[in-house]
Amino acid sequence: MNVLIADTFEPSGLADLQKTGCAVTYEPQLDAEGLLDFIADRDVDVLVVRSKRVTKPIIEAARNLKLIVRAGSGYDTIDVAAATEHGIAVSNCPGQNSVAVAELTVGMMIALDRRIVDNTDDLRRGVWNKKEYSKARGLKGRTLGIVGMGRIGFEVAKRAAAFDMRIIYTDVVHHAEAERLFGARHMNLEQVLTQSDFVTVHVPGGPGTHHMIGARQLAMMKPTAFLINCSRGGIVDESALAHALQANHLGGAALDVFEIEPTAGEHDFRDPIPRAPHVYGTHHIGASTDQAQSAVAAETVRIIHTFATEHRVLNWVNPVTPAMA
Amino acid sequence: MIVLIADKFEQTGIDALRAAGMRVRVEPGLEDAALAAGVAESGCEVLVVRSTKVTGPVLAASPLLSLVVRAGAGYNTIDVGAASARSIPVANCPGKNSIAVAELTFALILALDRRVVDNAVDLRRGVWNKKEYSKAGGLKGRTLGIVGMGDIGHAVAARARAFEMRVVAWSRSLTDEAAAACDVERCGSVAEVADQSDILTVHLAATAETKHVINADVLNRLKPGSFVINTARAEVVDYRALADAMKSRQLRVGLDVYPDEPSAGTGTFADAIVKCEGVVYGTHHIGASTEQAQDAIAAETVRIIVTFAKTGRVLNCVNVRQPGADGWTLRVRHENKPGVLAHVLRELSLDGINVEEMENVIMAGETGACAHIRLDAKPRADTIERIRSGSGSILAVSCTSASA
Repeated sequence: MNVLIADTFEPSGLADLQKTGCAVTYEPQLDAEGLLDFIADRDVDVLVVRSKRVTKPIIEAARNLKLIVRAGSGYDTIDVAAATEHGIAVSNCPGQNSVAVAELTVGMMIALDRRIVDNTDDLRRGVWNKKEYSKARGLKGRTLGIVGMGRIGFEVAKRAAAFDMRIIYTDVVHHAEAERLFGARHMNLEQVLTQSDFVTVHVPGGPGTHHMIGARQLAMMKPTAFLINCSRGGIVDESALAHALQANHLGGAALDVFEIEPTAGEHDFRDPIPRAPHVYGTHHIGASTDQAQSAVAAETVRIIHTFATEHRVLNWVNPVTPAMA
Repeated sequence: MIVLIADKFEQTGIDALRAAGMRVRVEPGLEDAALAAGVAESGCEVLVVRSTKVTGPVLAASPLLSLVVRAGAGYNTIDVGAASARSIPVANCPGKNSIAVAELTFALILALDRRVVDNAVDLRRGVWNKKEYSKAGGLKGRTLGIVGMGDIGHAVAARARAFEMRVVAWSRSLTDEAAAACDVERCGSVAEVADQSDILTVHLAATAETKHVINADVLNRLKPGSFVINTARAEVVDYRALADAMKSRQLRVGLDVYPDEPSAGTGTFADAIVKCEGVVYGTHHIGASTEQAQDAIAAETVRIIVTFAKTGRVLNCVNVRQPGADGWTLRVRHENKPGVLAHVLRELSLDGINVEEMENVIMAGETGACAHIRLDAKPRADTIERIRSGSGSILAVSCTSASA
């Protein structure tokens, strides 16, 4: 079975794939045109991508393609409808990033509380201001509100419980395990927003959650509370957030995602929100740890191995009956 | 009882003291001569301070002053020698900062792993560099090494376990049982901790033995790219060796304490270590500074004062003599009547014996009592005989060496 890996991939995963007997081609540098040419000219049974776009022209050009594996969870970079139309299965690796996102979320919570960025920035500039930075509140005994108790929300709750935080959450369903293990209490969104010292959002992106945290929701939060968004840009209304911060109606915010993000690795970033007061921004790195990448690679290998040996598609996201290998 | 609080203090603590019947005066601005005058004028029996200096003249300002409470752990701002000479006990609130320090330790660990400071600074400057910042290790599955397993070390270990980290630890008195109880692996030495750690954090008090515990040898055992965290005291880490190891081993470093810290709340900071190339994140010696820690300290301060008011006992007393093994204990069982103890003490006094500590316990029914009197020397046999026979209310007398 011919596998093309068109993004960077863990060396351990490459070795494991070769061990399963697949002919692996590793071409992380392919651009959109190069990918189209490659897939049109050669026999590729399985295509593995991370952030690279798999567009309709690429799918239409593919000669032999049977399966596209997204080595990660979100697959909005893949034209799933076109794949379905051409009988190509699409799989993803959901949940493998949960721990990495949860670690960043908790890291940002404490970073905001202790103002780690401003602390370091001042010391680098030769300024000592213990007086100012001594005014933290601490995590123990504070209330954490989790909007969306999925896999990531659960991992956040687990860590927050070890910090002796009170955990409340909102979700369409109750999470019995989080309630039993961490004493998490289910509430509606308004209650979560009004009661929390920290609010963290862990819901999928898309039209259903667009500006779910807008001016009205921000106004419900305590003026000392912190908002964390390590899920998807667009869930938080950035201009409403900037207003709330400028008016001191919110303690601060940590954002790993933005309404408009550059797609390239290095870029100018003109979004004003990271320059708003008390905002700590990161570069959409929630999922990007070695641990998460190893877990994703292992899951990708499992999907391809199962497809090659058992003709089954794991984590199948589009309802097609693909031509089996 | 009148309590003078000469520093900022939590309202919850002030309310609790008033609820316990204390007359509380809060004068956070008082210092030196003004503090001495305040102590004299207020007639306070208890003085509460945080960072305000308590000097000899302050302690001598009023004969009523009976207790000084340091609302915090370190008491080097109090002239303890002068307090002892005037028989004024000094109490502190140790261990109440543990959670706050453990939280900061984790803030630095997580910030270093994801390079949170550089991320935020770049975005503020309009630079997007996802490519660079996507290279993090993650915490799960990594090994955290803890040097010093006191309250803070324990709190750090508990949090690390929730992050699914492996935890190895060394402490002078850590046993295998104690290590197993908090789910950490015990190491035989600091070097052994360093050999195994991806992240090394130190939680030791600054003493003569702990000076530069984290030295060049320890640092050079760390794998390249490891993290070193110091939220304890500057003295426990050799900062020169740390700067070298940062360069040679690409260590990432998180620091809350520095060899030359400004003593004031604001000032200039000249330590070059935070400007070293590589990833070094620093905070302004704020480990203990959270509201949660201040609340816990206020609650402990209230407990000390209320216990003192009710029983005369001083909790967490830092200047009480640790009794040696060379004294003698006189035990007297007697009828619970006036004059009995006066008789015992008179006979001891005639023998030239000094009474050091004493306790008298009344038995149920209130007819019998038992006195334990610690003495600086052994009474003569005839003194003990006169104690026994000189009063009709003495039931039995015995005297033993404190070392027995």
